[in-house]
Amino acid sequence: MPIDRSRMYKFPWSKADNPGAWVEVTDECDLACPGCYRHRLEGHRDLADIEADILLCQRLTNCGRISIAGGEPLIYPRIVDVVAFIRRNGMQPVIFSNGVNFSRELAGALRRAGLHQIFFHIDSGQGRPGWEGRSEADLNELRQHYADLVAELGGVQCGFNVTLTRKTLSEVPAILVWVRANIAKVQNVSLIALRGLDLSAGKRYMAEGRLIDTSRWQSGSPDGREISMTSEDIYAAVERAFPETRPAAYLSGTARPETHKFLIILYIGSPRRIYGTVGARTVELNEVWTHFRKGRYMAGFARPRIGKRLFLLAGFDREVRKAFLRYFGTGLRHPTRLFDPLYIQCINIQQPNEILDGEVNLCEGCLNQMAYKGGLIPSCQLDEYRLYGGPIIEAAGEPGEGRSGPG
Amino acid sequence: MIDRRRLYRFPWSKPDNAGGWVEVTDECTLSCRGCYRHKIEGHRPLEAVLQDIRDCRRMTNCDGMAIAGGEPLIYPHILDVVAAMAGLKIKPTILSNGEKLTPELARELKRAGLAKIHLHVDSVQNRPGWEGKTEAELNELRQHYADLLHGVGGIQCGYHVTVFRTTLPFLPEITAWCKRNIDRVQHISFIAFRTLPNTPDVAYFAAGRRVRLETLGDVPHDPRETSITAEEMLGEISAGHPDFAPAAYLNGSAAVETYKYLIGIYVGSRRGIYGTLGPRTVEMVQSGYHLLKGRYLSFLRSPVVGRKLFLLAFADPHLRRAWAAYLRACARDPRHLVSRIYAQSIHLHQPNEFLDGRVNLCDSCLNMMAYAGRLISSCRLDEYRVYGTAVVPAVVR
Repeated sequence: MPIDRSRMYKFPWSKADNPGAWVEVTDECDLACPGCYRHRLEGHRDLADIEADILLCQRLTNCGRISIAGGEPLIYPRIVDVVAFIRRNGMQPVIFSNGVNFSRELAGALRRAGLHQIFFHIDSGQGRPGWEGRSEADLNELRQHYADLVAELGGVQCGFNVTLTRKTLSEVPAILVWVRANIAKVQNVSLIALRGLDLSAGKRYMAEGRLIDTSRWQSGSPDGREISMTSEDIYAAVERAFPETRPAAYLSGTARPETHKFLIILYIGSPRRIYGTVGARTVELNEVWTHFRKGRYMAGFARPRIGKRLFLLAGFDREVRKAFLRYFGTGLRHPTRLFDPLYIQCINIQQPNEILDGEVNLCEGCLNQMAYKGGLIPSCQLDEYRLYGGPIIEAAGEPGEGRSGPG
Repeated sequence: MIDRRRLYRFPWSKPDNAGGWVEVTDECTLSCRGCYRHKIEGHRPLEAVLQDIRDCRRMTNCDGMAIAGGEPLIYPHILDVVAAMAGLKIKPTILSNGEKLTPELARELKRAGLAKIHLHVDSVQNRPGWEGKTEAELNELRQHYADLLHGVGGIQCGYHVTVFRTTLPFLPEITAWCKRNIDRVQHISFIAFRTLPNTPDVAYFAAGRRVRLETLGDVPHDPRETSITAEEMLGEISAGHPDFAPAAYLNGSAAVETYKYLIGIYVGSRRGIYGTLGPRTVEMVQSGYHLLKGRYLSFLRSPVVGRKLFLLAFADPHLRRAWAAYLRACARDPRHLVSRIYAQSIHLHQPNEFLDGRVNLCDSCLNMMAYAGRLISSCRLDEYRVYGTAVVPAVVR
């Protein structure tokens, strides 16, 4: 079924009023995932600079949560201090990690410092030592390890990031079967379409009015098809396997508003059964009410164990109504299930930064903006600024029309 | 210094926006300084205009749409455009210089479903018969149109004033005139003059090719003239009207800390201004309207908001103060009790600009338009018409 935008809520987020922001603590990493857009240029950053960036983000974006990313944040020596600083300033710290250095001891220290959520990037394209050549289904074993560890810790939400290629798209159902069965432990999964520069013959790029040397750029592909998978492609794979799935909300593209850069699916269920999804009206109420009460928007729900009170919105939200009827029907057949706790789980389909028909198509209302040199930039463009001084645009025409330079 | 935490950032975005934009012609009866529209194609075919309206509605989910140009009132099918828009349940607003506006045409536009007309009247237009007049003197012309529309009834009246350094000091006087006419003027936009700098230190690229800005016509450049900010205009107005307080804003796309739209809304009657709406009221109205109708509010069909507005005072300290002022006014002069209560919005607008090496557009601009089946910022239309795409500037180092 094609995506019907009129049945979805467009998040009201903007650059200046956004639930999230982003800070990077290091560009060093203990993995080298193909497609990674971060280059090793400066190593670990000074704590004082990071703290200044966090405060600037808070002031400019009105954010309630900060994603701590890199590089690999868990190898940053002062990571616990960064988490504590964010929490002290009234925001939720969220770490994006590959998990390699995630131990019980470190997890305990991070929780005590106030960590709100941790996302593990795990997929079959990483070439992860010990997991080479394994399928996405096989990697559910590793995901289970981290999900159990975080659940054991208590008080910290758990999420996973999976970069998808054309090759792994068919494995999305296998990932989601595991994710849905772990609704009590896994609160968020981001399915991210691979993006990068199209480095096929004849393609040239420029930044700040100069042609750039793309041999320094590690995130790209000579095969344009590999970096053109859309949110709709991923959603179709999800819907084929789980036909009751309906997206509730989205973010559009900046240059191409008709594209879906974030497509949010919110499952309601218990570990024994998924009853359905939350609809646009519930997401809208949650956003509007949170902003009215707290003066800022919210990414996600405060408590993943949402409980049966969610069904109070059934009169207002068609999708919740459908979920309630399934829950009620299940309860009639298996009364013990009425005592199962109910959870909410977010599946976030992402189509990142891309160049479409010559124009840069970013996420409008992106919740991953970061401070850079006193201003705000999309975090996915950080290395365009670090390497070339500004955003990359496509150069057309014959050589010589742009001013050539070393970049 | 504006405290952003005390303002509401409108929840609009490109695909879910209060407003949209369509242009019917690029011909005009005036040649205003600072106009960014070039005469390239003349009157557009009606079917193309109607298709753009449908596309714009589909892509923006808009509640209201501006019919602009050029001068829309010289477009031969203007009544058809208004009627088609109203038929789609979009509130049509015409942006006009007013030269062709007569009571007869206003009545026809009203019958076709026109909701509002914004008249561009300022002292740098070289308007025949008004050459050399000050902004204060032009209030006479503004009064003429306001009275004309009030006489016809059913069409709201707004004004656009392009602000230059020479006219900046007149903002308090124009605002005072607006406040006196709150029963017949629902809106005024003060728009800081902007243009892209055409200097040797800035290069422009379209689709990766370097282009010369001269092809967009004569582009004068005076950095001081193109640097008036929304804050500066607010400072001028506040100096004359300490009761003016903005409630909501839109920020810049490249420089997030800039204010591209800064909006204050007076509440008052013909007998006096009681105060302003605060951010909480704007938030409640935008959120409530979206929950009920599935789209954001561009403007109320009736500017007579009435006393029921004061019900929202429970959540809005600004409105509470306005309510208290209303009660005091009623106690002093009971005629206030029977006066109609209106809302009047004052927009301070800092348009598309080149700032610190980047194009700084209005984030979530409410003037997006359909162009060749896609959505673009209306202020960049001529970049698309001349170069086929948006122009990207770069500082030459």
